Amino acid sequence: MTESLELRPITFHPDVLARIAPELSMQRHLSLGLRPSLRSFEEFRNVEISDGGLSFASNADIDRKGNNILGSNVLKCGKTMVVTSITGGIVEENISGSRVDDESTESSNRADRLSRFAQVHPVVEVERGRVGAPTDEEMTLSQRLRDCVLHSGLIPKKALDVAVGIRSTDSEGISSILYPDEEENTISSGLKSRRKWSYVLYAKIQVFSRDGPLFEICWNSLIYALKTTQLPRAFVDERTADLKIPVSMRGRSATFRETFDIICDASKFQPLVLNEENVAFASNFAIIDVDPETELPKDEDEMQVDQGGSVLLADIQGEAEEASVFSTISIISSDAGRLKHFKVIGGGLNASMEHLKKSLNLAKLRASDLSAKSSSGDR
Amino acid sequence: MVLSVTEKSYLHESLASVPPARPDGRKADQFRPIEVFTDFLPASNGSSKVVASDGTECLVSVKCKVVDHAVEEDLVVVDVDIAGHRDDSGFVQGIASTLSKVLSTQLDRSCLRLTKKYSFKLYIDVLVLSSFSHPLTLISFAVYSALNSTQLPKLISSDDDLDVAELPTFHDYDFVKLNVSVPLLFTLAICGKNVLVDPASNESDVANNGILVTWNNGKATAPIRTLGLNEDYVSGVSPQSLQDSIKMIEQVAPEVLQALGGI
Amino acid sequence: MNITDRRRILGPSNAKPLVFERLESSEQAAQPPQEKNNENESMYIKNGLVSNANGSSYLELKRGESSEQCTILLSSVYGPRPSRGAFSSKASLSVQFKEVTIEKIPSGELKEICNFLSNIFSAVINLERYPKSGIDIFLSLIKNPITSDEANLEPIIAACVNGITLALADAGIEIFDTVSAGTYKRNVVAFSKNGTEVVGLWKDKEDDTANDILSVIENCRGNYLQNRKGIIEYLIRSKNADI
Repeated sequence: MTESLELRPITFHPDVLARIAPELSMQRHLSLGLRPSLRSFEEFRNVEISDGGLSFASNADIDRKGNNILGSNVLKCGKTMVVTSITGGIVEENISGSRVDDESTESSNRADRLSRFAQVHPVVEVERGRVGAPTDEEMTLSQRLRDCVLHSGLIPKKALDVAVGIRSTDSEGISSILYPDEEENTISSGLKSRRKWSYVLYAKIQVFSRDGPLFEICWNSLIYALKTTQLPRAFVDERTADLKIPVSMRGRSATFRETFDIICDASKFQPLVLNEENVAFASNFAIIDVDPETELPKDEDEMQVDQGGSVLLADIQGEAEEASVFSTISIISSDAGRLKHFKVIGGGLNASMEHLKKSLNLAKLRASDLSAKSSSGDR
Repeated sequence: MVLSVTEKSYLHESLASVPPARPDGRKADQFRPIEVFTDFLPASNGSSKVVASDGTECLVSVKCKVVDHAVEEDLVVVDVDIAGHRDDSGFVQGIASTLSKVLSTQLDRSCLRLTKKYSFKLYIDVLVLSSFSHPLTLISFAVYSALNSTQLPKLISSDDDLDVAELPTFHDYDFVKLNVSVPLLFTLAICGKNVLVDPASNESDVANNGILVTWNNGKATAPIRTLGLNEDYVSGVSPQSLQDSIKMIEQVAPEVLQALGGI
Repeated sequence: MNITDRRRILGPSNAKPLVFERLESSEQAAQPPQEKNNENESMYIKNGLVSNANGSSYLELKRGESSEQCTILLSSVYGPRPSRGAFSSKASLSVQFKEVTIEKIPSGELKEICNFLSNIFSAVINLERYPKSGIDIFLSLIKNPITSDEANLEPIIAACVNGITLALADAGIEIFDTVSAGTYKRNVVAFSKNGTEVVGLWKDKEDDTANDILSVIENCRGNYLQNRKGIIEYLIRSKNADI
């Protein structure tokens, strides 16, 4: 007496299958010419941007006291939302008299090239429902963003120099501020030559609803935010400009110390000057092998995907794609096709020349699309 | 001591009954007996130790420094350390923040004024050695008695130093008593419709909610807010209970001040 | 205690924050809108924006005509999710508050707000329903209308209470009542049971309401009913839209 053993195929709801067997679900989708997100292979997600009205310069009638945000961006890409805010600080550098003249002579070697560009200091935070120290992902993202901004030559160091004005109060008590670049030769150069101030930019990037790799989304948001960034004019008060304070420490030798309180003008600001030709946008791609064995049995007349080969997917999204993809390409390119960053990680050695070329083309198209967005958003 | 669910339920019932039956036989508006010692730390300007009957012990030391008050805005700094709790826990930081806000906004700055340029800056260090119930009331008593026993150095140089580049100089051994009105913070427990002052730990465990009421210059002032005493019994309270708790503080606070002032 | 943070990119150590010139005139102009309370206040609600949380709510509060007096708060609820360690017969609740853009509120006060909010919601969430689990609430303040140096916390706290209630509803976590908060002058009162019970009272600044706590509560109740109406209307509308 043997009981007949019956084997029944188990069927899962697509959501469940995607959870328990992401690779299988992925391959099934690919065989239909779709991706788990129901986008086609080379389709990007739509990106919505706004400046969020967060920065102090975004609206003229806002009371700026207490708002130190210089530029901001809110980017929505699919479900993912990124809030970037740029804040600033001022560093004072003492420069020796000789270096002032050296600045004009630029040498061409690589270290010097970098020294002409400034960086931002990003801190990325990804909301994931946990508290504690930054995760590895957050740390790598911040570091990569910082490096890429510096190496892309986006921000010339000169753009961050503070042209310090002087506020003078006349006998009637009306104060006026003179800026060196507005009115020439009215300000004594004595103040300028010995000290130099420059802005430091910090970027705080908060990510909600993480859904796939974040570097490209954060980069784009950072670029948009930098494009909206306005730097306040800054000045020192006339009365403190030539101030020398004797500091006597009971018996010890007296030293002279100069302190300048740099005050930012709350009504005047200038846009941050970026190297426009170096403004670039990021996109990512995945290369995945299509496994013919996982394909569902299909009808004769159905569309055939290139059998067994590998396909290029644009804009990685979702758990299934992230988990089953081993080869990724990350590109930062300007709309003119100037490459700023190119990174290929290949797990399956399937990154063929053809895919690379295609991804470069797509990255360029994407960049021109994204940069059109920022210019239309401005107006 | 951790009570069982049944014990807690019994205790809650008795505290919510009219009149409330408190486990230690106190009346609703009666505090636990405390012992207060002051001025026992030779290295600080003022100090106090308060020991409650349940063994909760709180030490406060007040030290001072002369600062340029144009440069330093905060003239009172409060640091709280509670044994058995991490310094970065919400409990400790919440208490520290509440205390420093109350003290720095409600202490009269002119009492700390030394000269036209300089002021005393007070560093108030609070150490709770063992805490069984919510320690805020006790800390506040300790801060009160410490500040009232604080002796500040006596100035012998001129107090008008606006145009003189001179640092203040002090008398070698004479001190001046700090004379300042110190706010008191009271915690109350609400059980059912009853309001209980100075809840012990077992009473806190079964309270429906806690209230913090501040008393300064003869009246109840802000901050007044609800305060979590436990996580099991917490529930909404009727507005009348809030009114009752403020009334109760208005009644007992003068007596408490009198008792603390007698030290 | 001077430990440098090696996990974040901090920038040069000698950088000084930007100090803005004080504009006396605009300071005075900004004062009146704060005094005017609860008038023309509009609330925009959207649930479910944070896709990897169990529930979330986006709350945009506008006061008056100007779009600048605007509070944007994103609350997300994670849980109930399994908690490790010792057995607990009920869920543990935690509330975290973070300012995403401008950081104005001192960390101690943030902790006080978190303690206050978790006390309110301990009374409101049916924690017994979720043994051995944790419910974590994260609040992200994206935009803050405060303009002066001193933070005006009261509208933010009220927004937090309303935001958390919405996020809990979105997460499908059992709550006893739709708790909401109302503000009046510098007071915040969170109510439940149609305004007959107070689950939270926050009065941090002395104002002219003196010691008449009952009238303060009465005034907050009007605002509470209005806020709760907005919340419930939104929940019903979004439920109907789903079907």
